[in-house]
Amino acid sequence: MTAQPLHLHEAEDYLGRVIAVLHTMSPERKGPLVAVLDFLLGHIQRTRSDLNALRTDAQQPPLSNTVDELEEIVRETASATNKIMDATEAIERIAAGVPAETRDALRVEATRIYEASAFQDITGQRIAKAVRSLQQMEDQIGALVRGCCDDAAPADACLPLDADDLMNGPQLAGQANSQDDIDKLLASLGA
Amino acid sequence: MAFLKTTPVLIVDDYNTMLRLIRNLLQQIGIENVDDATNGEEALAKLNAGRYGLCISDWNMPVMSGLDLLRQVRASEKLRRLPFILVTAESKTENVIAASKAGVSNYIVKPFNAETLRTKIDKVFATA
Repeated sequence: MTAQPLHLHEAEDYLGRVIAVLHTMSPERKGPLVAVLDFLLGHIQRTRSDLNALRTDAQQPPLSNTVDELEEIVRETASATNKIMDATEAIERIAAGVPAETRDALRVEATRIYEASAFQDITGQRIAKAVRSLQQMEDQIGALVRGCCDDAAPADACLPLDADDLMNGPQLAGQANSQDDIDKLLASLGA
Repeated sequence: MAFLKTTPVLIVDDYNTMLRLIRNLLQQIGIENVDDATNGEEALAKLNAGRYGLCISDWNMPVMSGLDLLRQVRASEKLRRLPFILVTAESKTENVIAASKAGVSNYIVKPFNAETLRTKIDKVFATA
């Protein structure tokens, strides 16, 4: 049986229930789950940070949220599209003064450029949908992590993780390797 | 479609780039008399104040959507017979059904080309 896609309002309901269950769990059992959620949240935040780093105008202040990033992308593609259309309209003006055969050929190509320029509107709308989803996921996971960390969870369970921290999966308290253990392991591997 | 050379077409979209694009594509198919609006409310005011031969509107817009504009047009004694084309990236079946129920004359899915625009406009006036 194929799983049905989850709508965001349903996801919110499920997450609320998950938080309630997490509150009933012992800190030892809850810690790894919180760590995974924190990792997901950190991953989304890093993605946003990477998007910020791709900005072309360093004079502008950092973007504060995903919606700003989206608007920046749409603004930049709109600006590029307008420049393309400026150039195409200029070509059409020049074409008005050339022999009919050449003028018609230029007009056909100009039409193709106009048609291709529709990408700006389409990509803008698609990006808007994707980034809105990302924003909602970020909000939901953040709420889940905060919900888990509100009560007696151990403090280290709520610390942000790096991607490498999860290479072997989250570790249960008491079963974790100490730094010495890790150092010994690395040494045995020749590192 | 010949009378569109003298009676203006109103194009409605919240993206200026898209307005410019549609205006250029209309010019490519011989329709030069074009006015524009950036949302449904502004479009409705222009339609009520002037005389237009065709409205080509985006669906997703702030203030008033293209579908709401269409419904207002069809509810108006003055505008109810105005040919109305929705241009949208929303190609879901339920959207097309909603537009049809609201009385849309034709429906163009983005991205589109000049030939599609011409064909749809021709069809609207062939059945009008």
